[in-house]
Amino acid sequence: MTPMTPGTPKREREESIGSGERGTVRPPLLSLRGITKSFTGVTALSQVGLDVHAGTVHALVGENGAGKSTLMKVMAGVLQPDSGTIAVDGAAIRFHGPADARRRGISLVPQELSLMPHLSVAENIYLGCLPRRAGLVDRRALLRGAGELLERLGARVSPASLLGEHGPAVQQLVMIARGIVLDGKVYILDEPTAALTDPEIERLFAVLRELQSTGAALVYVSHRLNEITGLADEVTVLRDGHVVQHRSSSGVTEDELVRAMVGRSVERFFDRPGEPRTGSEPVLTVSGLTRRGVFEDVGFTVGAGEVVGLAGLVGAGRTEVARALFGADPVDAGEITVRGRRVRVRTPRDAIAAGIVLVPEERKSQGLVLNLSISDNIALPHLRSFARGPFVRTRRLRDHTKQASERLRVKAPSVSTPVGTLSGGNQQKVVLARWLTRQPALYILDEPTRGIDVEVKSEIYREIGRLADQGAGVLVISSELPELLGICDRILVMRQGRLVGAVPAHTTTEHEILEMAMGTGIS
Amino acid sequence: MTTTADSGVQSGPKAGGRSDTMRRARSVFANSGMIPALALVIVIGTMLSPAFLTAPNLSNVLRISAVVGLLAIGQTLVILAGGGGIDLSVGSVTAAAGVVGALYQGYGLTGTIVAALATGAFFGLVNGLGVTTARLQPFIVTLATLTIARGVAFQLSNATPIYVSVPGLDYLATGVILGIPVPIVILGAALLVGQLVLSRTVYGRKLYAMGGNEEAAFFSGINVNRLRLSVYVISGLLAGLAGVLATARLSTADANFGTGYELAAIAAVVVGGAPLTGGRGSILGTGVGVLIIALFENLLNLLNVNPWTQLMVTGLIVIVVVALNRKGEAGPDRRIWKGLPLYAALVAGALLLFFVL
Repeated sequence: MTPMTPGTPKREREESIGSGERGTVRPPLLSLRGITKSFTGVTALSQVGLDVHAGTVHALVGENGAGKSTLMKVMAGVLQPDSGTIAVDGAAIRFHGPADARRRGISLVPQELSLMPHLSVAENIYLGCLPRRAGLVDRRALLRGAGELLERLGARVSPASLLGEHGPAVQQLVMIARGIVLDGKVYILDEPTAALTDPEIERLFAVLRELQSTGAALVYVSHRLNEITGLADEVTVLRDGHVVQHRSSSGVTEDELVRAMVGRSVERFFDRPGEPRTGSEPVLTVSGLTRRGVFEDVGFTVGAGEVVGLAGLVGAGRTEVARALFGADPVDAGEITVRGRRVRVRTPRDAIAAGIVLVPEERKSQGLVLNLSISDNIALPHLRSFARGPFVRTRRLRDHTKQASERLRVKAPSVSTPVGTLSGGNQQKVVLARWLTRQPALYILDEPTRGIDVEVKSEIYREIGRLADQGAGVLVISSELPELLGICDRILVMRQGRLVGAVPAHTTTEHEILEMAMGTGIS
Repeated sequence: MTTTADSGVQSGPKAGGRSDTMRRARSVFANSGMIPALALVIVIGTMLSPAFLTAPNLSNVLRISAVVGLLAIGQTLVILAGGGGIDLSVGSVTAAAGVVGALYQGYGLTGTIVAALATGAFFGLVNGLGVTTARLQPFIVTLATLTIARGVAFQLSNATPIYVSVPGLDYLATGVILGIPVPIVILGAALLVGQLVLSRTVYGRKLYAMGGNEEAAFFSGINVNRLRLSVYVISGLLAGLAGVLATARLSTADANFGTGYELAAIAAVVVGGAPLTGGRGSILGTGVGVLIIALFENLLNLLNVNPWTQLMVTGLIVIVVVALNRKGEAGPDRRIWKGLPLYAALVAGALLLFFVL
């Protein structure tokens, strides 16, 4: 993360449309002031203010990790802010949970839909407030009510059909219908068009405009900037948990928005002696790697001593490519060559044997066995090499793992400490330390610094540089573009399952990468 | 960052091999934190019955608990391996293995033992394949094999106990090595080997890792399917061995044998401190669990408590011991408060039973 000295960056916060004229006009339906939220040392939101007015669409944009999801969750009562106030209809309020927010008419339509596929469409719409007669569910009223709602939303769906039979578009509409039943005033939509086809998007927009005309307010989060300029009345741009711009959307261009989203300062995190190693002997060559419906025809190389970044929006398929290279997911087609040798990778075991190792995205669920010690976790993939016969030679294992954890400066009372008690940064070091002895050809690091404090981050960057200097190839996935710009020699960009660009890191800009990742601009 | 940030790097000189051993020992103790409970049972038993703490009585208790003890060792591995692991089939498999062994008594001692072990291993393999390659839930698969193995035992024995007379077999029931009855030696050896495997071998380390976090183990290149399959096979093998011991003790193979033993084995494992969620536990803990339950039942026998009351009391012991064993997962006061409604309900039930009905 870039250094965040309070107050240094100039922010055009809440110009023009603001809280000034309150009192004369109707107060905003939902108003946030000074919202701050941090997770174990990482600030996700800092002093965020936002007003959502009746009958308007308020777009929320920002890069991955800018704080949009956190902000949505705060608005919907899923997360409680550390400080700041929330007001509904001008009255300050404290949400204790999502149920509180729903009671005040705030509906979250999440990206991952949380509905019951085995129940009917009608039941899903009325879940928790089923019409009753004499203590039993009044099925007739239920179906009639749901039918009317669906018709109003333009969905030709039988209310009695099972929800699971329908695609994401209908499920989306059902969530919105649910909001209407609950007498919703504010609808928060998280990337609602991500899984929809064009005609479905058209219909969704019609529904949203209809909602808007009835006086509801919409908070609309999307990466598709062209949608925003057409639909929204106001736009708020988040960056690093701060509101960096808030304006009326009339006349705004996509380019202006992208410019506001980027602009974090980039620093080189370590100095590489000599210039970028791009062009050296490749340690990894991938061609035509395909997993149908997930990623398509991905091909690239990573040179010895080269640090290659993999950029893209959430859902672009970066993690999926990494998992496939590591043998965690099957592929439908493609060739993988490590140090000139064609390899077949069907399990992580194969990948490790071939010289490909992965530091996974979710270190707690995928990287570590939390109740085992640092030592056990580091030794896990190479227990065999510490064994005599079936028995583990405890002393040798300890000496070795101690060395590895010292090299990465894991801070813990001893290597016998359970990793579950360590801080996130130290846990990440343990996952990385695990692979050092193998001297693999390629390290894949998926979000290696997520949720880690600045100091440990820089240590991990240094280690990445060291690994490359020793001749390994490093493939880094990160949602933080400045990070990639700071540590990589070359950056690959993915969009919707395809590799759409490769640029040298020292000449490119955040702006250029983001444009490729979002598919805006000329391409 | 943690408070140790300025102390720099990790292991000081103190954290040498000794403290590691200490820590291991302590964690074994904590996991099987029931050694105090065992001591309590022994103290109470000694006070209430003069016959309790005598060599013949203890020897008898241990001899009888050898069968359940073996099943509990296998059960420990299966539960430890995580993924909802449980083996409900072991009681039935013990009976089936005993019957198959009896059918092969014509081939002598070796034939009997090999046939029984092979039967056990086969059912274990079926369980393991069901759980790994077929991706079925362990509860369902082993529930099915519980039924199947019992059916096999009845079918092969025509539902009549088979008298077994194999030279040397009775040595497994009545023999004595260095003054210790053979069944106890076998159980002791199995406990020792099991503990050694879990704490010292590559296999054991992998098992703890998979039980603690299967995905992380998979991402470390561990063949989780094969590992998981192996624990079911071992559990089946131990059930086969238990079948041999049972046949030796009774001189008959009975298709009815071992009904409900799987539950006794599971109870011993949880009383021994292993959570059903896997990743934690030890064979020593399970050994202590077996002892607590066996000694308690023996004490109730000595006190002439009627068998129905015994059932109730044994169940209560399992609940109370496991509830107390949950320390470390919540603060002590929270534990007591959270347990209160449960204890109140149990006490109310007891009052109703004895004074109202």
